[in-house]
Amino acid sequence: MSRLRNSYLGQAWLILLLAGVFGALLAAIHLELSPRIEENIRAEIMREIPGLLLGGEAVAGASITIVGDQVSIESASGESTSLTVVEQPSEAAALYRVSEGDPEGRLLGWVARGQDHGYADVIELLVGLTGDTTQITGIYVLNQKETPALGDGIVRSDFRQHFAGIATDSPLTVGRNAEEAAQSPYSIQALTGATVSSRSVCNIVNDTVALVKTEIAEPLEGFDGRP
Amino acid sequence: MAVHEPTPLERFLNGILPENPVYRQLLGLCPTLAVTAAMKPAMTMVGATAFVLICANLITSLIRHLLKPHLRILVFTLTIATFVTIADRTLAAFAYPMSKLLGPYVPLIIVNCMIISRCEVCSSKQGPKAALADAIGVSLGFLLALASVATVREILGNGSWFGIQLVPESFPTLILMILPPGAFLALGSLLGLATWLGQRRKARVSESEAGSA
Repeated sequence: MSRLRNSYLGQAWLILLLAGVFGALLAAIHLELSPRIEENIRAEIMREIPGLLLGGEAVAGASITIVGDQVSIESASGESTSLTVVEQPSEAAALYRVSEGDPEGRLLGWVARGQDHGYADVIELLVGLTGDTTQITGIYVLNQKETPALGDGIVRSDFRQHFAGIATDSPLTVGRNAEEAAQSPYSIQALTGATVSSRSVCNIVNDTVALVKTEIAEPLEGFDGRP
Repeated sequence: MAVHEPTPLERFLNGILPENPVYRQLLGLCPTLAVTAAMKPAMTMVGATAFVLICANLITSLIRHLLKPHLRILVFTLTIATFVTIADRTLAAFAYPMSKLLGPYVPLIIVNCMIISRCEVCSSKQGPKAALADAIGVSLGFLLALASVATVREILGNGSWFGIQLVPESFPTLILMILPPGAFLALGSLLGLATWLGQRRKARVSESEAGSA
């Protein structure tokens, strides 16, 4: 009896039992809440797409309305623009084809969702690309849990704006300071004290861009990459 | 000699002021500094922390006789992490903008010493009634602390309270107060005030005791 009590199982049975019960509880919560969370994330993506492809200034102060796959933007001056967002089959977490007006309208660009590990946890990004995928139009941080006041600076617009307008013909690199970053048009200046987070963002952008370019050149079944 | 264990009412009252987690024990300072730029995020954090504290205290109290001393911290952490994940997912589902605003601070409740200390001090030693009273009392103490810091910061830094504009927008505000240094200034000043009031009260009690003797 005392042998059983002193064995690993005898010592850890409560922890194993609790782990099983709590695991089942968390699985049930996940099943119940994940559709609603995904819906919230999709609404956020739809809201951010105009800013990513048209530029932050074009949508500053604008009212954005989302109905199904349609995003209507009414600028502060009263001008209105309508975009159609169609999700494409992709190996990326998600890939959206964005056109002006209806789905047959001019292709405005692509927005892809990519993710990888950051310093603390997974970083999820939206990467905007021009219609011909030759240029990055912008990035948006969808989800991150980086170190507060250091790595979480990746969400700031002054860091994200470094990516807008960079050509996609060469992978991005990270410069540890302004001098290093200025040496190449493909170099992004790292956040002070958060080189790992900055590098993770660059890697996610590189991987996502490479994947989107490959998929547009060799589309998957059901892919609608028409110009 | 039997050790006197506080009654549920004593536990409840102690948590609010005499053993206030922030002002008396200096615990839970990370959220106190990080999410008190405005009342709404501060109160959301209080709600999430109270939920985790109440659930963790109750579970720990119910299984207290099964705990092995050298494995108790593991059980506390496992329990706390489960309820923090539930709070985090619930916020992401029903209060998505607030969940984004709070960012990593909700998952960081797992390492909030205030919760693990209540499991260690109270719920692993006393029954569910005392554990529940303790959790509610400490949650109210935490609410008091975060509300006081957030009130000072939001009014001085933004001229509003709970998003309601209290002073005319033309009135000058101290932007510094809603920035990180403002959190240290507000907490330091309120901590000084709380300590001064506590010492004054203590001195009065000793004086009256000396007088009656």
